[in-house]
Amino acid sequence: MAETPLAIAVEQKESLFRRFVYQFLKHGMAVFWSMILLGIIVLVAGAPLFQRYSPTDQDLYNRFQPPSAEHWMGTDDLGRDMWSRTINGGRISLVVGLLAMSIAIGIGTLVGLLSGFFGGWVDAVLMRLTEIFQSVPRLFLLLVLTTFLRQLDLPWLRPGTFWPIAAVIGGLSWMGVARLVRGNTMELRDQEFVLAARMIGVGNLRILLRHILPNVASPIIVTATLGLAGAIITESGLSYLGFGVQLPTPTWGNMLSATQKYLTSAPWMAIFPGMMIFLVVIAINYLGDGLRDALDPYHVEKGEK
Amino acid sequence: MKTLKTILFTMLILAMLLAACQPAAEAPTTEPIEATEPAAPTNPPAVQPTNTAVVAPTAAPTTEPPQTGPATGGTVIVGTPQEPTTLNPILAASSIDDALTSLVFEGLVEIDENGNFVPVLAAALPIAEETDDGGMIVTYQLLPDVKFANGNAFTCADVQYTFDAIMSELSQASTSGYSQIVGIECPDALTVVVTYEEVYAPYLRLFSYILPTGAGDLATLDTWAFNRQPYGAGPWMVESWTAGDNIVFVKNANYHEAGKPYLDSVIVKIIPSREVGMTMIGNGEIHVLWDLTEADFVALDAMSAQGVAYAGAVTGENELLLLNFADPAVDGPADPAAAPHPILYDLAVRQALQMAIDKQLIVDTLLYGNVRVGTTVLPAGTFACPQEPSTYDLAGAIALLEGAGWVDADNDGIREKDGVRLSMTIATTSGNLLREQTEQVLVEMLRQAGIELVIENVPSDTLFASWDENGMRKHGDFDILLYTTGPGPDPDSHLFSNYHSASIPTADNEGSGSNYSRYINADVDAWLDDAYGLTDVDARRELYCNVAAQINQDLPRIYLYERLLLSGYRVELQNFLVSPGAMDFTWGSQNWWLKP
Repeated sequence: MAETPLAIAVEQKESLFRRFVYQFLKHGMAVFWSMILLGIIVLVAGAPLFQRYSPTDQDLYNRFQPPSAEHWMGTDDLGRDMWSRTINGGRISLVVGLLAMSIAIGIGTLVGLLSGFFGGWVDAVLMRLTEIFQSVPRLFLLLVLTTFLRQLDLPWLRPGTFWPIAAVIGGLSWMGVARLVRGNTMELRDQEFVLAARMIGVGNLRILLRHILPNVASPIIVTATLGLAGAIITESGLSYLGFGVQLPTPTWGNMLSATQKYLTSAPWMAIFPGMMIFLVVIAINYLGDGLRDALDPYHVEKGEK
Repeated sequence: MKTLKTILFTMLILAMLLAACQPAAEAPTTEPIEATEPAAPTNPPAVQPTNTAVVAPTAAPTTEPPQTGPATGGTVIVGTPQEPTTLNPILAASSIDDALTSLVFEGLVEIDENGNFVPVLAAALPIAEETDDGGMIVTYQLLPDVKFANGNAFTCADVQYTFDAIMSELSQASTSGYSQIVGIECPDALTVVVTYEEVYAPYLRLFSYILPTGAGDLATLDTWAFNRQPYGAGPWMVESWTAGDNIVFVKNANYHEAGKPYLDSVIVKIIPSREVGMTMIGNGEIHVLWDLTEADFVALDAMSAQGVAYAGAVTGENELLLLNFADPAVDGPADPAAAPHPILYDLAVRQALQMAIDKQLIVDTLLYGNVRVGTTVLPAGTFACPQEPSTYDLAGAIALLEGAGWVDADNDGIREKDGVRLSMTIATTSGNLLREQTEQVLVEMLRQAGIELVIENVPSDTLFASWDENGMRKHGDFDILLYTTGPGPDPDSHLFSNYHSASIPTADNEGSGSNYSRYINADVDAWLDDAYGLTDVDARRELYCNVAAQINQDLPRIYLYERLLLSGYRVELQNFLVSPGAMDFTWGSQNWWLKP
């Protein structure tokens, strides 16, 4: 007997995965931008390998040098190499984005699952909480919180770290995820397979984790990619306003913030970090687009009509 | 759907290509700074590090040789991003109010471009005499034949009236000093005798403007038409004021200096922003742009080819590092000896900090060589006390630190001593570009000496918050601060509130005083106490100079560079000067003329 039940299961799983890959590869833009994103990630993650100068080494007699063979992206207002600062700045920007997104997904999924599954007063309380968070003007709360968190003398919030800003951004952007997950969970909890599980005496926790969570995974993955882009932009915005990661640590946002005065005299100081934010956000959005198409069977069918 | 995506994609690629091409295309038009010549050669040379006397940094080059003679007539347009609220000096609330009222009003004693007190409506600087009962009498001789713009003669009665106006209920003027005056007498029309109840050393700063008698009823001061249409003894009078647009000042025909002002009129134009002003002065649409900062040197440097120059006055303020002697963990201690800062209480560390900072490099590069390095708390004015500049000596700084027991045992590049890492935070106002640049340069410089500085900037209202608002500066919750402060024309109150031990903010005095370093030196206290009771300028200068020298020994603060009061102007405008006093760029406006 060649086809044991296990072998069938493996083959099914493989074919599911293969189908996903096939669908994703059909989305040309998603593939193209994923490549660009991959390239940027390699560049940023391996920044020390690609840089010729340290991102903090200053050369005060060579400020505002235009791009040249020596300095591929020119030098900034303190004579630091822009290429090195741009690829190193990406490390913080991307890590802050990832962290913030993970926090947002974590909180959002938890709230959404509980709210959708239990319904009743749990749902009412959690959804009112979500609405409260949603109705707060985000930028102002972000500004207040980042300043406030820095003043608390907590060991993991030492000056110069990016934890507080990631935590704050994440803690303020989970509401969309929560609503999405709640909707999907409500739909799933009354379906036959959940009822069947309940019939044979499976506990609530196990139903939530084993039966419902995997089924809401695909919308979560898609929102996660979009949330990542949002978090990078928010970090850039905060750093631009001077409330983000402190100098001299480069991030794309705080590199931009110093450039207002030099837009006419040294435009390369603004163009390169700005372009990186632009590329990454666009790439992530297309990646999310591709993932959604690949993971959502209904969407594909519609698309192929 | 597919077509739309293709179009979008094509546009994206195009946009990226354009963005990528831009720097290369613009590169030839920009002018990078010469590597060996940080100071802009086209700007008037301002820095004279060896010159210890008080200098006007940029004034001299615009003054024409006397034989050419000034041209008369013409109009100068002044751009200001801020509109004044009033032109009555009694109600003036902002710097632009102060500056523009000085076009219309003159005072008995004013401050010239070098920061010195000079007589204007007085014939000479007044003499102060101490009386037997501990009071003081100051006698002014007034200039004869001075008329206000309405033709009335200027007499002692106008000085009395000005005093009444300043002390009146609705006045917004500072009464400090005036409140100690017990009476003003007029033995004759041109002699003013002012009696103080006790010795008031900075008496020269008073009466810097004189209102004409009959300007109005003091009980309705806030509603006078005079507030927007004033006249005084100054070179100009207001012709019209179009709110939000411009104010036209025309020549005062009765002005006391014969043949002046040379110009026919001065128009003050309200502009949307300083950035717009920069473009306008480059095009020649305005002749003067008020209120620039050292951060504008980059743009000014690039615009020197368009005929834009600047004038600056040493204000006596320094951009400085304020070092905390006390433990930041302890809330507002009165004596740092009881709660010493783990790093900065050690004099050797403070000396090493100063030696490891290359002030000249900061000035030459970030400030284009346009200011002088900071050397003393009293850099300019009547009480100037020049001190030897600190030397940049990295090896010396390292030796000092090693000698004091700070060694890098764990080889992480930062020194330690008894388990304390030589790491401190530096805070300034966030969003201030030049300060952020300075901080980052300092971080690098001090890293060379094995000192770690961690930048932790805060919004200005947090940095400068009061004691009750739990202000970090007042409560001593910092290691190092970077900001600007300094004495005005008379250093009496500044020195007392910043360096006297009685000015340490604590819970007991409800946080009053600005001695944020919590610096205590018995000699400094004694010199300041002695100087307060003196009227003799030379004797006071000597005592203040002792204080300045002692401060440089003890280093509660490290002076980085001297701040300037800056205004931009077009080179065809002659005799444009800036005074560090309230009159700012309007000082000497009667001497302005336009080179054809």
